[in-house]
Amino acid sequence: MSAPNAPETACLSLPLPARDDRRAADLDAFLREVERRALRHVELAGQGRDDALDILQEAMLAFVRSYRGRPPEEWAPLFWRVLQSKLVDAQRQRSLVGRWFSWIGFGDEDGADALAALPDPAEPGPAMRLGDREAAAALEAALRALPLRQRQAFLLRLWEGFDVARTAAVMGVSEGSVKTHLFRALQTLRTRLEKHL
Amino acid sequence: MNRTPSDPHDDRWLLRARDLLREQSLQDDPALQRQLQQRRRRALEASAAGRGLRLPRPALAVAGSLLVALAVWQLPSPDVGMPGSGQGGPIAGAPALRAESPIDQALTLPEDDLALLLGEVDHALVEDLEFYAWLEQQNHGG
Repeated sequence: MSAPNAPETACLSLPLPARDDRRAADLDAFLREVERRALRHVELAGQGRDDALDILQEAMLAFVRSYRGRPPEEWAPLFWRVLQSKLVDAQRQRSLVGRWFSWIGFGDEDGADALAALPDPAEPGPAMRLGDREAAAALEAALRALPLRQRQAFLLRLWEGFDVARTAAVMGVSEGSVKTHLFRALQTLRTRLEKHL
Repeated sequence: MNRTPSDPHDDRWLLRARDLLREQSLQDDPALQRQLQQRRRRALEASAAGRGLRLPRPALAVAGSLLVALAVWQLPSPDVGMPGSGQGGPIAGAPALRAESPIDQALTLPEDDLALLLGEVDHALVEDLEFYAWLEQQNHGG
């Protein structure tokens, strides 16, 4: 007698269906490809390494739980959307202190966390040439100093290669906002980085 | 002079910035790699555990009780005459049986089973009864 449709759950003694194994392997491969860049996104938002790893793990878990059933070609924008949401949440938690700094005159027009805007010393790694290390340090400092939304727009457009529409979907803003944030980011970064890069 | 960035890729410094970002992300850092692997696996395992049917062993007893209740419920009510009813005589040698409705049968379940049924029930488990009924048949060589 053939089995009726087995429930889509794992029993203590029954293995997962093969398609679930394949999906898990595909998800693992996707996350492995994206995790380093995602971690850099979070660190550039002013999070320390341990906090950044926590945020990344939360984003991975939320992404897998919510979207594992979606087609693989949709995973990239969905994952970045989840990660950006987690970043905004983390930023809001820190903004209580930032608002106080804003009140006493250290804020910026986008309301980003003033603490996050302070440049941190960069650690580009020993493998890079001296000139590259200096350039990387300058780049990191400049990116950290950007407001959150400008940095998001810059990294998603330039590093991830998303077009304006996809960037807007990931950031949860309009395409016009993406262009505005990106324009401001480029103006600021060009001023700070042209002599280094 | 106000420069307006048209296509970002026209600016050399932007290309250089992108290259630097990529180089940084590709740097070999075994400790970081291990940490990332751990976090990734935790996220995938937690997600898989959350999707799975959590079946602690006592719940298997509940499943068994539900199967018994279902099997009893599915049995056709014996068409036997009630003592003194005149509707067919009692089967020779067999005790007189009272025809009970499924609800009556459920209400006469042993107290322990009833308590289990009325307690916290995993609704996903209840929905999968058909599967477990089939499983039961397989276990008995059906």
